[in-house]
Amino acid sequence: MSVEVIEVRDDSGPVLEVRDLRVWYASPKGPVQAVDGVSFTVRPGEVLGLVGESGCGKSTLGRGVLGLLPRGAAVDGSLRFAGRELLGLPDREREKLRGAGLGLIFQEPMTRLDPLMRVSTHFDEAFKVHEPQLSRADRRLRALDALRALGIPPTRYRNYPHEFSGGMRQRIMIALALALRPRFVVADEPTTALDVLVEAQILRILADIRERYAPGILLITHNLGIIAEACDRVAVMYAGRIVEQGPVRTVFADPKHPYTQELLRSVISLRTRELHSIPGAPPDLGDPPPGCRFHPRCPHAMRVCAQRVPPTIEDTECWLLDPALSADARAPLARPGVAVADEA
Amino acid sequence: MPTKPDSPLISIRDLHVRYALRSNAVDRLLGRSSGSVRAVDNVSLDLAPGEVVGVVGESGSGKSTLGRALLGLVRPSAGSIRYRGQELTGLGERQLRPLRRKLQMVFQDPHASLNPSMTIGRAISDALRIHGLHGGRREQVVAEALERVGLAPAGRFLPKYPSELSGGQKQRAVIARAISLGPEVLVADEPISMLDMSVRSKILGLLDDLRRDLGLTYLYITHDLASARFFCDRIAIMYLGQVVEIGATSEIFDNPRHPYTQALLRAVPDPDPSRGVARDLPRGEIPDAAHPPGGCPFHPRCPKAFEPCGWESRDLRMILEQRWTAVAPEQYVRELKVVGDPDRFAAAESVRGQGVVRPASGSGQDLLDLLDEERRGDPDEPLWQGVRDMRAERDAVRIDFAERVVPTLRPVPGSTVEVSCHLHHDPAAP
Repeated sequence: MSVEVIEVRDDSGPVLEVRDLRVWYASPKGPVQAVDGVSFTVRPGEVLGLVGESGCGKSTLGRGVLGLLPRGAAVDGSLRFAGRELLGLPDREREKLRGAGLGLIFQEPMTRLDPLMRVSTHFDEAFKVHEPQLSRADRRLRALDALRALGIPPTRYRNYPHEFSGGMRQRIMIALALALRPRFVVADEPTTALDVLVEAQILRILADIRERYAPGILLITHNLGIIAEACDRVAVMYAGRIVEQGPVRTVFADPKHPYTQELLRSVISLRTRELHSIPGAPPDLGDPPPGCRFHPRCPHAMRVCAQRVPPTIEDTECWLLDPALSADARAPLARPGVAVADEA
Repeated sequence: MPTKPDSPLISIRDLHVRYALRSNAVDRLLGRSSGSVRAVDNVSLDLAPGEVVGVVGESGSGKSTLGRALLGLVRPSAGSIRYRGQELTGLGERQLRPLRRKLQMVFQDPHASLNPSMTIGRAISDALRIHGLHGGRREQVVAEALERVGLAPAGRFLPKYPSELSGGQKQRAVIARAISLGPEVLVADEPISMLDMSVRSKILGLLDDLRRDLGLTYLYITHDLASARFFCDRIAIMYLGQVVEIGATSEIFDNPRHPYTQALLRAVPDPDPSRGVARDLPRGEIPDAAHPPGGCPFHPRCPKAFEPCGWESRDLRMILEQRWTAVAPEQYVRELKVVGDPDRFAAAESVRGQGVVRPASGSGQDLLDLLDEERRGDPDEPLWQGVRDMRAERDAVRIDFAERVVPTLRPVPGSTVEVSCHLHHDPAAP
């Protein structure tokens, strides 16, 4: 594939720096804190995997980073993109950054591509908004380049979305996001709706893109296999908080947080010989448990876990890693048993 | 009807299911048909009592249609499905109903499987009523089924509406409804795919327990090889309506024989960071089932395809499109002038192993030069093994393809496996 190599701009620092980010939604039962004090950074060319179960706040976090939260959501904390604070920027300023600076790859490409617009028109519109100085011929060249990198032949440039298979549509979505050469991309479950071979093709393409374009990528998924194959670092999210983060190899080989340990054990993989599951269910984010949010389900819960929010030690938010705890605080937590019915 | 102990509970033979393609109003008035899709194409499969048979394939493989046909939800166009020796195809709804108690189904989406305006208790109770169970006994059966699937105490869940339950609880309720009827066979179509990771193992564990405790027989339909490996005794791999490989689970996974099975196994994302992204994958996607490739349906994507696999003119389109994702834009424009719309290649049927493709402009020699250049540039492309000769005529290129042999599912000696692939059976053998 012939792809223009784009030099990495400003390699010095992280492209995205998130500090103590909080997101609330209003709900009939009161405010729901979907993201509660999350911090992480992404460097150019790095893929950070964000993994968690449905309702843990991972998609809200991804949208929060891009400024795509619905009206009525409140955001607090700090969100720096290439050194510039995004929170508090006027909507129009953020709008400008989206696409060209911050890209997004959605889960379901069919719902994001306009069925009445040719692929070529999708690219034209994106360029007209974000790079109005490009000539028509240049727009075409850039679009064909991006499509080629994703394995879409130029013969299909004038086709409509419905003329493509699901995997091709997702490639087009990715090409659309990358044609603007964003420095940071949020990919929200980019392969979830795809078949396993197509999913593997897309993961391979994402790996190639990383080498060629070197954007920072936040890859949101519920699939630990995808984290293992496609990410450099991983952040594990539970009930609105990142409970552990680190290099993928380290976290998978030696998970420190009990939730990470349990999650890794409960994955059904080709090596699974015995099923394992985590008792109980994730909490209601409108009324999360006190202390550590995982304590009601944690096999190692101690008395302190139900009382105080754990400190972050070695990038892991867990009391087990605190050597200074008193014997009393370390005493096993007495809990009622969890009924099977409350689990699933 | 009594059966011999070793005879299969379900026996599917040479099953075909065709879906008519949508035709326009004029065609329908004139009685013209616009063709059909072979969703299931000559499938034979047995389910022994207590056995779990996995049907694994991607979307469009026909795996769900096979499951639906087994329950009489779609009408086969040919072939036979026997349950305890009794033929099911051709039975009317009235005759099928008593059998439905014995053949139950669990779908992928538990939310869509439950009526949102009906309580869980009512949903299960109604199913029992339809099948003729009345009175106080019914309440007892409902409660037992709920508690059997872990929704205990039953009193807590009977008055709940589906919207009040989590995804896993809903799937448990659907399973409770299915087992309340006392089935022998459960067709489970992607029963855990829509659930969260940590819930999947709970539901799969429940299905496994029910198999043991109730002696259920399963047809487990999935795209997920990992859960199939854990749960199934035997596995059938489907591609474009056909079973391409079938055998004992351990053999399928330890020694996959069909290149498609091998590819699926390589593609499964594995939670092992040392493995890296799978690189040697088949190209493209499942082709349009309305126009399946000739020969082996997998041949255009197969990295190991060779001479007899069914190469034809329309495969050239794929080669050219592949080429055009690599060449410089000016070269593409130049070549496009010669080739024209590559869709014409798709229409250029090969007759008796010969294909004739015409350039859009220029001479046959121009087009031949282009094809020759591509061949020299990528001599390992499997397609070229299937091309015996290419000749330029005045305004066309004539291509001789190797003789096409359609592979059939045949046993592999010394194994439990049957595979449909020329790599494992001499295509010249009868």
